[in-house]
Amino acid sequence: MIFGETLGMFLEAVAIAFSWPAIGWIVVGILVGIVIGALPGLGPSLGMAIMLPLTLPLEPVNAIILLVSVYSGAMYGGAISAILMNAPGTSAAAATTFDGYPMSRRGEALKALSISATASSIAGFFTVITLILLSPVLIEVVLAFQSPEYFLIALLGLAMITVISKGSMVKGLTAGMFGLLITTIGTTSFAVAPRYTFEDQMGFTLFDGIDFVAVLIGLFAIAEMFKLAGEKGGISREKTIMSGSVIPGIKSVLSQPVTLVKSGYIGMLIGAIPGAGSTVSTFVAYGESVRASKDPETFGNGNEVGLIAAESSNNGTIGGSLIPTLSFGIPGSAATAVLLGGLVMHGLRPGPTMFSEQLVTTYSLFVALLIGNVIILLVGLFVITRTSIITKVDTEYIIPIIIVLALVGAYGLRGPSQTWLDIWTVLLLGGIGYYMKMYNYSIIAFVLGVVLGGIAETNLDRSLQLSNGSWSIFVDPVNQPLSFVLVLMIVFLLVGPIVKPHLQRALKNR
Amino acid sequence: MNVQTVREKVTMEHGLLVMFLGVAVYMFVESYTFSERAAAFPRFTAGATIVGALLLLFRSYLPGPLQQLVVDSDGAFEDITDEEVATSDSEPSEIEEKQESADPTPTDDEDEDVETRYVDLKWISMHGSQFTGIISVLFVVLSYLIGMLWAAPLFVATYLGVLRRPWYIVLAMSGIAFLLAYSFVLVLGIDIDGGVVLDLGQFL
Repeated sequence: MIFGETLGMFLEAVAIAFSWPAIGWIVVGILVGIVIGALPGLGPSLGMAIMLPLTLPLEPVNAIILLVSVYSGAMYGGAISAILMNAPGTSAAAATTFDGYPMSRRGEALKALSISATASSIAGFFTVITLILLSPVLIEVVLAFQSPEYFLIALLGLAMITVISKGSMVKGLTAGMFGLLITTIGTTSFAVAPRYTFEDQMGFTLFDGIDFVAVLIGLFAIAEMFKLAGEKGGISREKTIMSGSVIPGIKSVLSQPVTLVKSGYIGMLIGAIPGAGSTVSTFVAYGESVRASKDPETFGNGNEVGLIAAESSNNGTIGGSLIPTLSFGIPGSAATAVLLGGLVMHGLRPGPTMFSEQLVTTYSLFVALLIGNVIILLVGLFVITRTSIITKVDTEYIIPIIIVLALVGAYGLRGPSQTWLDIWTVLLLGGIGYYMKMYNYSIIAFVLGVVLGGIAETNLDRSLQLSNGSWSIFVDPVNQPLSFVLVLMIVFLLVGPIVKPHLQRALKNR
Repeated sequence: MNVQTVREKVTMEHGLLVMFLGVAVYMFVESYTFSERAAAFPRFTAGATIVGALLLLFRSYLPGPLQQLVVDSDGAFEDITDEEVATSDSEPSEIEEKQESADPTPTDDEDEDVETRYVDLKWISMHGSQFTGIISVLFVVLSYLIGMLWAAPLFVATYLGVLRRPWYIVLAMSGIAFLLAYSFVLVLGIDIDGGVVLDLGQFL
């Protein structure tokens, strides 16, 4: 794609993002996201999951803009309760408590909140700019992938997530494969015969399969509420004192450009690794800022640099996590797994089309993130500093409301014949997700399987059609070198943990 | 091994794995009734699920190298994160203390050790998650009977009532639940104002 053409598409995307109603959805998404992120127990993935059904009447581009704005807003919102109450709204904001809360305790809550808003928005801004600049390179890479590679990349994504995330590798793979398996219920695009539809008992109800949005709502909203309902905690009784001032916070961030840029890019890089997510990136960025500091002993006692590092890497992760999500359909985090679900739900396929026919949509999404960061800055500096009450909402009040939102949302996903199937799917998957979380089965791997099942099967079928049914197409180093490399990477990831101790022992004995 | 020992050793994880295994075995066997083209993917995924579930179910009997694959880890980044924070700080214990004192509310990918919440139902004390699960199922059943729009406030009122919340908050939250459900009716045009035994849609 030539530069002029790409620039034209980018300008078209800018026009879309600034037009009505897209700009309105950005504002709504950011505000909803901030509230969701600030509420204890709720995170971006849950917020996006319950918003998914509401995006059904929207144009695809507006729907994705809304979802990505909720994501961005929630990532920032998690810091509010972390700073004011020492109770991070999201796991990604855990590192924010280290220095944010001590600042609040010593009467600098407003300064800490303005540092958080400024660092989040600036880091979010420049990492998305970097993403836009990187996109021509991404386009070239993505276009090199064909059906066999896309099937293998789905498997590679599963393998990577299972290696990186908590729990054993086999648990992650089993969860991912089970996710793929349940997408085979119903009819396929290439074979007329239905599969596992129980026509005698259920008529045509299962012909369209299990709705993956219902699965997402079940796993991210219901399972999370079941988990929260079993944990003591509820509301923090800490008294919030909104003291200090906003301007010194902005100055403080601007006086630390190295920490800001370094932490933002740490967030972006780690965010691009499937399954790693913002929880990891904030801790790494925080650790790096401590290492580079001349007075590391002040960290943990309200050091502003620590807060800047945690907050800038937090929002920097967003841009990074979009790279594998949009390029290959492999989410970098739970929230991008839901975003991926939103893309598929609105007929947008991650992969080459997102960087060719759908490039305007992709750029619109990036521009929406840029605008969103400006809104975060404005809201963070002028609104949040006056609305600390949202951090005081009791989780016991949140639980039944989220369950109502999740189930009512599931009601409207498909036609009347599948309504109750979707509702029971939400509840059942909520229960399964609850136990999966309890026993460290990767939810992201499971979701990846469910969201990518259709795409993976279509690509497997196309590959086998190309090779006349021979699976050797995946391991042909001469004609399919990229596939061969991907297979080697999968094998390396899966066999690595078995071979590693033997290698270490052999090296020790030498 | 007597029955009591077996009962003590069996956890809900075994139930989860047996469910994975049962579904996968059925789907694997059933795939032989499909055309070769339609069967390839379900057979591949069901086969992999069966292998994984069996490895996990019989993990204690696996040989050493295979144990590596089924032993729970904290994730590849856990060590790096801790190391980065610890080695870079002159007083690592301080950071650890801070990490402990921070009270991260559970979200997507974390699993903190937190106290279990029980719901006191006068005659029985129930695990909070179990109570929420049961009452959610009842909510769906009630929705089927009278419509989700009317069942939603009743569900919220019951939930908060059982937790002995002040009546005015119960009332307010039930009203919010109704309004939220109604907003879905307006946005999505869904028909949730009536059920199989009661149709109150005419009152709207």
